[in-house]
Formats: sequence, structure tokens, C-alpha cells
Amino acid sequence: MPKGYLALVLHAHLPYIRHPEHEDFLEEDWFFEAIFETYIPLLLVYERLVEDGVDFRITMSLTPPLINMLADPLLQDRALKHIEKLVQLSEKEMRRTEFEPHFNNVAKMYNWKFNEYRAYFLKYNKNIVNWFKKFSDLGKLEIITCGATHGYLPLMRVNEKAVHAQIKVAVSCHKKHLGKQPNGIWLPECAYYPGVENILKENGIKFFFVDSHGLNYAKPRPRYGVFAPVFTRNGTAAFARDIESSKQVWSAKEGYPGDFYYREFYRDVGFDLDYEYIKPFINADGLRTFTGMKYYRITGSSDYKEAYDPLIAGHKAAEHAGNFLFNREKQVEHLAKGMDRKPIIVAPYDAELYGHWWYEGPQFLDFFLRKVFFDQDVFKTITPSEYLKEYPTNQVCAPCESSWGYKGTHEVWLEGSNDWLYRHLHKAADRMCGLAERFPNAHGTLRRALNQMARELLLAQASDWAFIMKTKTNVGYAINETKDHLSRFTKLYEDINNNCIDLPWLNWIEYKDNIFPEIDYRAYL
Amino acid sequence: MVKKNSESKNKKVKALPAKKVNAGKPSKKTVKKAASRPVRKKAKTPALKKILKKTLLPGVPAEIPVLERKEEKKPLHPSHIYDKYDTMFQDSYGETGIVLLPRDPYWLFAYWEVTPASIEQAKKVLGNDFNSSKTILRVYEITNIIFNGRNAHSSFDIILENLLRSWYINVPLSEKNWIVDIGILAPSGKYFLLSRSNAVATPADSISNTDYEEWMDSAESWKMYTTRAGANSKNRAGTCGIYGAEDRAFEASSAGVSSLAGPVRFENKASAFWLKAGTEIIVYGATEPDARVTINGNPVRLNADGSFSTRFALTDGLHLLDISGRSASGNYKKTFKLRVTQETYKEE
Repeated sequence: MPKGYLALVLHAHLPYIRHPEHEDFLEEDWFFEAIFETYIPLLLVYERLVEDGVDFRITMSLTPPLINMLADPLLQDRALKHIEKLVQLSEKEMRRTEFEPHFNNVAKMYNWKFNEYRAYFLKYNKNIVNWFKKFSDLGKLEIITCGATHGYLPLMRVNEKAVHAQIKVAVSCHKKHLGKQPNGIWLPECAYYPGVENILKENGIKFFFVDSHGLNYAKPRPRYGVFAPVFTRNGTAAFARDIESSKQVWSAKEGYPGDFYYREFYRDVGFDLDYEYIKPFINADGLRTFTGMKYYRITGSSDYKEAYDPLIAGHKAAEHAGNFLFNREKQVEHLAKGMDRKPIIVAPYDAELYGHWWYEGPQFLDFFLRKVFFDQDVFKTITPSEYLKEYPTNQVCAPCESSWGYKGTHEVWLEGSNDWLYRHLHKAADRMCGLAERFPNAHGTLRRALNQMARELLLAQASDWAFIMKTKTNVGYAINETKDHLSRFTKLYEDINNNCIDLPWLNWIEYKDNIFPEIDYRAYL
Repeated sequence: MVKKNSESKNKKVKALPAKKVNAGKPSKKTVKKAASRPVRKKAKTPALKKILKKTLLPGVPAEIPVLERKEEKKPLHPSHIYDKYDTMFQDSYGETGIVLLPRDPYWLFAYWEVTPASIEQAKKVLGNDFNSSKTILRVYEITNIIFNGRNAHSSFDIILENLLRSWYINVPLSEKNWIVDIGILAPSGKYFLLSRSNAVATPADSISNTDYEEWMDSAESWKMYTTRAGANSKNRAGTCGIYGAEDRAFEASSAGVSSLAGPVRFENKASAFWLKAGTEIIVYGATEPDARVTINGNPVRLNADGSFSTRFALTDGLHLLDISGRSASGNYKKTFKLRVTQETYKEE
């Protein structure tokens, strides 16, 4: 019998970036990188665990924009092209590095992996949502939803109908692509405000997550702190993040990913090699970009880098998995003493940390889950749904408004660089609700225009734009995206008010911003 | 000749409207200057003249260097005709109003819009006082009360400079409810309310000291049973280990590691100057298009015309390259054995 549980939560999200009007769009690379550096490597880990009969549980949020991108034929074809180029590059690299066995080794590893990823991508007909679904159907993976476009809910609540639409549209997207009602939700940016649980409950969602202080500062003080869920007044459960397990992996300083034997992210052949040679594999406009082929290990804090050795890095990943296991065992043993139930340790991470940022991350998970299964009896991995089934009685508390951003408040998404957004987002939400009320049963072109308005509003609300403005990377892109969506929204609004819908333009914009083909604007009623 | 030169000078002068009068009438200065430049006098042939014209423009090289050769412009996507609609972003909406958002336990954010019509109205109401009045934010603390404009626990004013459209408000207490007015305050104390915000609540900033416990069964959601914390002290002792002494760790936040945070992060450079150099060797050649070529035993892909080209990163030392080709029929074979040596000497 285990003494406690661990719930690993991976939050997989990317903003909806799709530019059919450009052959090769720089920001679309985020998506391709995520597929071939994180999602497929993770799925392969699950695949092999299942093959080897290792029982495990992981919770993953697949956000609606991500699901929509994964299911989009244009992006699927572009992703295939991306991996095919990588296969080509790795072939060229195997030859080029022939005199450098230490690099040649790495090039061969990439060639092997890229071919494998390509094969699996094709095996699932370029739509890996179905691959995720497979593990969900096997009961290994609990897939939860998120806000429809990862909108920052606490800063949207001045018009609660907008929050409502974010949840409602997300749940119907989840049902469409994964075939079932999501039990839980990862609130965008883990941002909770008192009252949002009522909207969740209306949409059939039974649990959500908050950051540690969301429960530590709850009222009344929860008896078990962050190590057991609480019920909000309406019976929706809140799980809280554990700091210790987070820090071991997240922290840039103390975390595992900073080990000197792990792969260095910032040295990429896209920047290192001769321009003419690498040109076919970087951005079509000739801008040097990351290709994904990286030959060095972190080595140290200076510029000096040594060749990456996959074998040593693999041993390190195993060692870190062992350390993580040991620490969780001790933590569970310690917690279980003071509790009348089995403690649950909730360890959430951005999925892209595994593989994209921390190259050995998926390998680490693989080792870890095997060790949990074979090497100890102190704890088991679990999903929140299973925990709630085992413990249907929980303390009633009012969690504290919080997020998982810097300082745990809304500050990242509400500060000098991005506060101008909210004036426009709020206005647009009000206008959307106004029109929905005016035309509760629209048909034909008007209905299409109203649906498109809802899409543009949702796309503008993505918290990613505010986040990018704050972190000062690709700021121009984030501002343009927001303004473009709001402009399109305004044009639709005015066209509807003037009873003169620009049909050719609507055709185009429906094709371009085609997230949620099934959307119903009456979500704003 | 002199005249011709001065004319070209005048062309320049024309650009300055003040000296327009001089046009066509060479001044002494330009004549003198032109005369002191014998090279120009030689500019008889049109070809030379062209060159001269070019050299007269500073910063424009006579010919575009090969490296900067411009590629043909790709045709724009047909949808670019709709780009004009992506500028319909509105800056303001023509309605007076103020909206309040809580940011953290001690900070609120307010944004507002005030229309000229509202200002006109204020002018009417305040009369002569208007000119010496100020725009203010009035912040009310309204925790647990139904606010009617006069019954706040407390309030304070923030004087606004003109043209502001938003403001961060520092509030003294956490876990309180707030409402903010934007209004115009005259020195006489007369106050004109422009707009009143929504009410917001700020969150807690520490562990709660309420410790009564209430438990709920998800099976019978609404049936709650309360366990009055009779064993108060015992509970506290039991939980302190669970909370731990540690508060929220900031470096554990997502902002540090997110898929969007990168990819550009430059490392600290150890020294101010750096230099990197690498060598690669390009092996190229051509044969019959249907022949098979290998380098060190590895097959090489031939282009349609039978040419091939591959490159290798070079390290110091001796490298052997065996290039062999075999005709399609297999009857003919040729091999070249290359020896390449590289040595690097570093001077500092």
C-alpha cells in the first residue's frame, strides 16, 4: 500500500499562430519545435512505458489553441515539411562531421530520432491529438482543458460572460477532439479568482489547480496545506502546487536542467554554421533561426562549450530521476505522519520544459516513472480524478486569488508594457455580448459574421500576448497580433451594425483565423 | 565648361528655397570653386559625366557589391488587399467610464475615458470654479458595505495630471474592497463625479488566521458538516509541519521558464573581444549522371547533371578522403585518394 501520491501535471500550450498568407512564418516554428522536441518525445515515453507494462499516471492539459493547431491540415503539412527538412539536415550533418567523431555521434543520434519522429507523425496521420487520446483511453493520461484561448481570466472578469465563453468554448472543443467531457481544467497561467469556480461548475468541470499560496492563504486555513485538495463552496475541488518538487525541476539555478552534461540550448547549427550551407534549413527570408540540431553540452557558465555526449547525459537523467524519487519518498513519508489521509503532491510544469528547453526531460520522466513502478512502495502516481474518487470528503475553503507568475499575482499580465490591452479587450467583450443579445437567433451570413467576431475576440484575449510584451521577446509580433484581431473584430462589429457584411473578406478571415470551426457565438449570451 | 559646372551647382542650391534667387546666375564663389577642380573640366564624354555624378553622391557605391545582390521580390499573397482592414484598431470609444482591476494585495489598476461632452457638463455645473479645479481619482474602501457614495470606511484622493488615461493605485490594506471615482474637484470643495468604477476585492497576502474547519462530501455536495475546531491548538501543531516555514519561492514561477520566454538569451561574455573560426572542406566533382560515387565508402547523392558537392568540418590533423566512382554498368572505376592536413597556431 502506498503512503501517498504524486500528481505530475504537464501544461501543454501554444498560442494560435497560423499564417497561411506566408510561406514560412518565423513564429510558427514554436509549434513545430514543440511537436518534435516535446510532444512526440513525450508520447514515445508513454508508448514505451505501456509496452513494458509500467503503470503510470500523468495529467496533461492540452489547450484548445494547441488542439486546434494540431488538427489543422495546413499546419500539419507544414510540420511534416519541417521534420523532413530536419531529416535532410541531419543526413548532411552526418557527412560533414565525419572527421569529428564526437559531433558525428550526435548527428547520428539526431538522424535516428528525426526519422523516428517523422514515422510516428505519419503513423497518426499527422494528427497527434489521436495519439494523446490513446493514452487517455488507456487510463494512463488524464487530459484536462484550459481557457479557450488561454485568456487571463481574473483580468477578464469585469464582464463575466467573457469568462464564461472562454470555458464553454474550451469544453466543447475538448469534447469534439477527445470525445469526452474534461473533468478538470488548468486555469490559464494558473490564475484563479474567487467566483470562477461557479462558471467551471456550470460547464461540468470538477477540479482546477492553484499555486501554493492560492491554498496556503485560503480561508479558513486548510488543515493539510497544499497536500490535499479543498472544495470551494460549490463543491469544485482545488489542488495546489507543491513548491519543493517544482523547484527541483523549474529553478534555473538549482534545477536539474542546468546540469553541465545536459545539452546546451543556445548553441545551434542554425547560428553556428556557414550561412550558405545552412540557408535551406533556416527561415525562408534568410534569417538565422534555431534548427534543433545542437552539438554542445552546457559545460559551464562561460562561453566555452564541449561536445554533447548523449550517453553521459542519459546517465545524468537517470541519476536525477533517482534523486527526484528519493526526495518524493522522503516528502511523502514525512507528510503521511501528520495526516489522516494519503497526501497528494501536485507537481505542475510547462510541458515544453520537457524536451524543448530541457532536452533530456522526457528521458528523465521515463526513468522516473519506471523507478516509481519498480523500485519503491512509498508512493504512486495518480490523477486528480482518481484522488477525488478515493477521498470524496474534503475541507471547504475559499482559495486566495493568485497566479503562477512572478510574485504569484497578476503583475506579469498587468504592468506598464501591457496594461493598455484591457481597455480594448473589455470593450470588445461588451460589444460581443451586446450583439449576441441583439441577434440571439442569427442565420446565414450574419451568423457567420458573429461567429467570426467571437473567434477574433477569443484570439485577442490570449494571455500569451501580454506575457510576450512583458518579457520583451517578439514584442512587435504580439502587439500586431492583438491589434489585428481587434481590428478584424471592430470591422465585423461595424459591418454588422451597418447591415453590410463584406463577404469576400469574411471568407478570407474565416479561413485565416479558423480556430474553433464549430464555434457558436451564443456562448456570449 | 565653367558654366556647365556652375549649373550643376545651382541645382543643389535650388533645394534651398531661400537661395532661389541665385538660380541661373552663377555666383563668384561657385565659379571659383569649379575652376579649381580641373578634373571636372575633363568631363566631356557622357560616360565620364555619369561616373562623376555618381562619385558626387557620398555613400552610394558605384556598383552594388556582389554580396548584397538582391533577390527577386516574391509576389505578395493575394490576401494583402485586406491588410488595410487590420488598421481598424480604435484608440478610444467615445464613452465616459472608469474600470478598476486588482493587481495584487496592495495595488489596483484603473483605466478610464472622459469625453469632451462630460467635460462640458462639468464646466456647466462647476461654473467659474472649473478653471481652477483638478481631475482626481477618489478611492473608497467599502469592505462589507453596500456603497451609496457616502458611507465608505475611508477614502483618499489622487490628483491626476492632464491626459492620463490609466493609473496604478497603491492601497494601504490587503483583503479589502475598493471603488474608485474619477471626478473634478474645485478648490472650494465642490466635486463633480465623472464616473464611478466597478467594485473590486484585493487578495490576502499571508496565511489566514481563521482555522474553523468545514468539510464537504462531493457525493452530497450541499450537505456540509462543520467541525468546530475544538482542538484548536492541536490542529495548529499538526499543520505547521505541512505548511513549512517556506513561503512562495519566486524563482519557481513560470515566468522564468516558459515556451515563450526564449529563444533569445545572450550569455554573459567572459571577455570583451571574441573570435571564432572554423574550417570546412568542400569536395566537389562531376561524373556521368547515372554513375555511383562514394566518399570514404559512403554514397554521395549526384545532382541531375552528374555533379556533386559535399562538405566536411575540418579539425587539425591528417584526413584521408577516398573518392571513387563507378560507372552504371560497373565496368569502370576510378578512385582519387586525397590527403588533407590542417594545423592551427594560435597567437595571443
